[in-house]
This record gives sequence, C-alpha cells and structure tokens, in this order.
Amino acid sequence: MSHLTPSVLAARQRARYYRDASGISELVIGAALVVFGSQDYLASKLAPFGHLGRVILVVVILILYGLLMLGNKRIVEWIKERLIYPRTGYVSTQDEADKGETARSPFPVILVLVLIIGVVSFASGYANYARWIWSAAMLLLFGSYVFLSGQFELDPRRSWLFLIPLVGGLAWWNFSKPSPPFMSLAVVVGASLAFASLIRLFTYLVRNPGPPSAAP
Amino acid sequence: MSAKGIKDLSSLDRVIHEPARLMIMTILFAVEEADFVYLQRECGLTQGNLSSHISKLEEAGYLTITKTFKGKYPLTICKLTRKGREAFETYSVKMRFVTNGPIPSKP
Repeated sequence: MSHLTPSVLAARQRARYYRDASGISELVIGAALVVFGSQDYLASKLAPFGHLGRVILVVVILILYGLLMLGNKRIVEWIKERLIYPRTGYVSTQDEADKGETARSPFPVILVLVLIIGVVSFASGYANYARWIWSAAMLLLFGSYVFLSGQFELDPRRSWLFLIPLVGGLAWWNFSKPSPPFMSLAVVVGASLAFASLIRLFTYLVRNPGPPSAAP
Repeated sequence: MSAKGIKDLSSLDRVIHEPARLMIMTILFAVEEADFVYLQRECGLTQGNLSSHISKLEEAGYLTITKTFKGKYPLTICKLTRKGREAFETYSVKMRFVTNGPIPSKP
C-alpha cells in the first residue's frame, strides 16, 4: 500500500498501543482465568450444601466465566467509556474493521493453550513431570505471546510486569507442599495477568488524571 | 529531474498542506475514526485551534463529524470521507517526490 507513509504507520502504531495501554482487556481476561481456576476451591466450599451447592457452583461459574470471556468486549467497552474515553479520548483502529487483518483477541491464545494442553496431556506418560511440562508450556505460550505483542508496543517493559509474577506463581505451583490443585494453574496465570494489568491501569490513571487542558 | 514533477508541487492541496491539518489528516488516515479528545491529545493543539482546523476539513468534504454518546459520555467523532482519503493519498504521492528524490552530489 503505497500511501502508508512512515508518519501514517507511526500514527497507526500509536493508536494500537493506545487501544491496549490501560490494560483493561487483560484485566478482564485475568479475572476470567481466576474464576475458571477457582472451581475446585468453590466446589469444596459448597460441598456441604449437596446438590444445591453443585447447582449454585455451575450457575455462578457459567455466569461469571461467560460474562468475562464471551462478554469480554462489552465489559471492556463499558469500563473504557467511564475511565478511558473521558481522559484520553476514543479511537477505533482500522484492523478492527479490515477483513484482512486480525484484531488482537484472546481467543487465538486460548485456542493454542487448549491445543498445547491436549498435546502435553496425551504425550506425557510421566505423572511426576506433568507439572514441569505444564509450567514450561505456560511459559512458552505466554512468553511468545508477550514477545509477539511487544512488536506493536512502544514500551516493552510492561511485558515484564506479567512474566515476573508468572514465574513466581509457577514456582509456587511446582514446589509447594502439598501440591496445589491442578486447576490452580489457571489462577496463577490469571492472577499474574490481572496484577500486571492493574499496575498498567494505575499508571495510566496517574498520568492522565483528566482530559487535555484547553491551553497548550 | 522532471519539470513536471516540480510543477506538480504548485498544485499541492492547500487544505491539507498546513501543519495542524496535516497532523489531523495523518492520524485519521491511519485509523477508522477518532474523537476530538484523542485528536487534541495526539496533535497537541488547543480546543479552539483543533476545532477551527476540523471545521475547515469538514467544509472541504474531507471528513465527517458525528456527535454521539458512548454510555453517558458525549463524543465528537471525526472520520475521513472517501474524498478525504483520496486527497490524502494524492498529497502523499506529491510530497514523496519532494522527500524521496536522490540527493545531488557535491560539485
């Protein structure tokens, strides 16, 4: 496309960065993963209620997880309308409208995650090493996702906000005695993502306390 | 060096060929649409200055202005028209003649 001059490309890159700078999308995804991974814990708390407890668990998990994952875009937009747009404005990037480009979405990552888990589960005949394999797979998956998303960012330092707690969480998940439930891996990943996103959101709100002033 | 290429510069679009409006057009060309606050922040212009330049671009038919709401938050959304995109592409091609030509060797 001959009209994509360096200035246009720079403006597009800034708009893409701005779209995700507040970290709200990742915050919602992280919350969804925490909910998903908390099923065992919630089930144990609701066990005394018998059948009613199981029904409540299923309803709560379905509603929360469904809202956070399937309704991710709507929830993120609702939060941005109140926190982001009044401060730094609204922009819609063309890759959200173009047919040829893929907008950044968590679902390809989730799909790859499911595939990796399936392959690892099938290939791993060593139960003692299952946690190590899963931890390595998580680091590989999310490390590559962070690296790839870093190609579009102006500040790659934010990637470390996610990887450092993730490594710490995986260390806890592997070495704690007794071993935490397997599903708590999702809590580790989700909490790391939510932690990094909260810091980014806090930084954004501090830097942008209000809309631009009238005078330069 | 082509004389025709040089003479083309005399027909540069004066509506676009102004620093503030060039910034606005560049940003809007790169995105689907953007609101007033985003443009003001990216361009570093005052509200009055930005409003004046946006009005000129709207008069030329290069962009549309839509006042709407996102939730309870009022938005003034700017979007390039087809005419505006074509005008910017034409302008970019002409300016490329200025900036991408070979550098003459020293005598």
